Amino acid sequence: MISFLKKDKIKERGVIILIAFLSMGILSLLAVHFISFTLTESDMSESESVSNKAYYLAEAGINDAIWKLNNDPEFKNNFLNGTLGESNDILRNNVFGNKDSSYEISFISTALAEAEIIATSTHKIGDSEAHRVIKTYVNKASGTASDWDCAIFSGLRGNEKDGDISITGSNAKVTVSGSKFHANKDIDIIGSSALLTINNGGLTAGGEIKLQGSSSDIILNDSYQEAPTSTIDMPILDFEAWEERATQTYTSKQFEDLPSGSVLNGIIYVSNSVILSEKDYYLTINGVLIINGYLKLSGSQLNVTVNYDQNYGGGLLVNGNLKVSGSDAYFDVEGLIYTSKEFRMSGSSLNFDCTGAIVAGDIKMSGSNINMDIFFNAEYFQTSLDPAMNPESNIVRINHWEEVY
Amino acid sequence: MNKKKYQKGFSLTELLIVLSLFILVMGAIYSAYILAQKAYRESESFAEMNQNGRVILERAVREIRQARDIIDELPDSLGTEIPEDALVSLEFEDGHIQEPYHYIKYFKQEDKVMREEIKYYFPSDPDTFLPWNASSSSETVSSVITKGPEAIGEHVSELKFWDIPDINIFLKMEKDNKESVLKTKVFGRNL
Repeated sequence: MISFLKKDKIKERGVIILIAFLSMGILSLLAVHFISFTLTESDMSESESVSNKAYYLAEAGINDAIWKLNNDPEFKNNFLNGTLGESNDILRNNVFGNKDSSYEISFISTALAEAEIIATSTHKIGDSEAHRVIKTYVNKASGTASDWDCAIFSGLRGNEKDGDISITGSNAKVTVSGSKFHANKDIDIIGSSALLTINNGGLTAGGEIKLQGSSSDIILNDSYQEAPTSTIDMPILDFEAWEERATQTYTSKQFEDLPSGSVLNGIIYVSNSVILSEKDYYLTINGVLIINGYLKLSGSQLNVTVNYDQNYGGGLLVNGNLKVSGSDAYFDVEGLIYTSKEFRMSGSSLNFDCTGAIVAGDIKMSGSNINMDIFFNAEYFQTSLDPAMNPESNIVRINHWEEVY
Repeated sequence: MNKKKYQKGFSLTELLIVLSLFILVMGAIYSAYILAQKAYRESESFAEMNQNGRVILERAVREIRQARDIIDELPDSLGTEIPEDALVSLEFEDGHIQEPYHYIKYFKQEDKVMREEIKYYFPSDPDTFLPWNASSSSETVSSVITKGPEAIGEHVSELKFWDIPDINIFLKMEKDNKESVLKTKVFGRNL
């Protein structure tokens, strides 16, 4: 028998303990490595999740602010009178029952019924905080329609981006007969060979009238030009009331799937945004077409006719942006063309004949060969603008959304 | 006979046994270490790939959400599938800055997603920003890249955009023969 196996007689100083220590050392190193990797990953995902929470908190702040403007009498009045200020700031802690979540809302009135809302959210994680800031411009139509006298009107004023009429495309021919061509901010004619003709009306702007395009001109026949002049409140359109009066209601999909040649009669209400991208397409509305969302028209040879109806009136009313980007389009509208945000024409060979009036938050003509003939006709648009039918614009609209970073 | 026997060193046999045991144990530990290292590298590579995807989506989503206009015609979705004509790049008007007509484009180049800022202008008046489709009878609109193109993420094998106003973004990531797919939808607040 080997002597060292005789335990009782030998004081053993073996090496297995060393091996165990070495092995454990290496394994501990590995474990530390993995733990640090996992912790870094976990921190990254936590930070991602907190950043998302902070964003939605700020969004909740904006919604809270809009609710206040719609429903709280004090906020509502201050908003309509253009007197929102620091005293209206809101600070909410413990949002959704989470003690780490809070947001602050500040309001700045930029004009009557127009304001800038800034929501800053804070979400705490341990000793640090995540912040997100969202800035929106909101407005509410607050004018009166009873003596409306603008043939073309671009009306938002609070936001630097809106309230202009700009012609940047080439060969735009715009003829306005019977009343005013008015922008609450600037009228810019930058495109070449643009011709703006006003017959028996006026050319007015709250800001400047600029004529810069080469070979472009403004012709005033029995008309006047005035800038800067006083601004005009955008007339009210109550889209909820229109929904209640609708004779036919469509979803976006149902409306977009209508075949060419469709003729719709009455008050046609589409519950959401519409994109029509068709070729050689004809659509006729005998009455009023209301789109509760934006309307985007592209494709080619799109023909849209809106005929005035004695019972329902006439018009194309859009609760959002109206963008026409196709080619060879033809629009013949008897009544009111109303878009609560931007009316943008960026296609080529676009023809608009409107007997009534055009009201928009902002108008941009950047396409080429745009021909627009507007004959002011109060009878055709008054039914659509009638205050009795539009008791209130109960919707505060966000006309621009911006994240601050 | 009762004299105690004190061992003062290791015999050759003892050393051999201990060394062979040590080598065996070390061999086992080493292979475990190599395996762990491989798993670590793979997960690190996967995490890096996903992090790249997250960064790309985070930035693109934030800018598209604020876009004032999308220039490209986005195709409609066909159920849950990606439409065949889904776009591989997207150009839109920046809604983050005050002045209009600043454009941003996202596209894929090699395995990177690139971002560039574009300005459209008439050569006779290079300081005025114009819409991308502005036209004039005397001159054609020119464009210049005002910033970029800069890579905002790598390890991308596919980038697709479709549908509007809920714009779908599809990203396929690839690194070290591993694949990952990221998808999101963003609603354009200013469209």
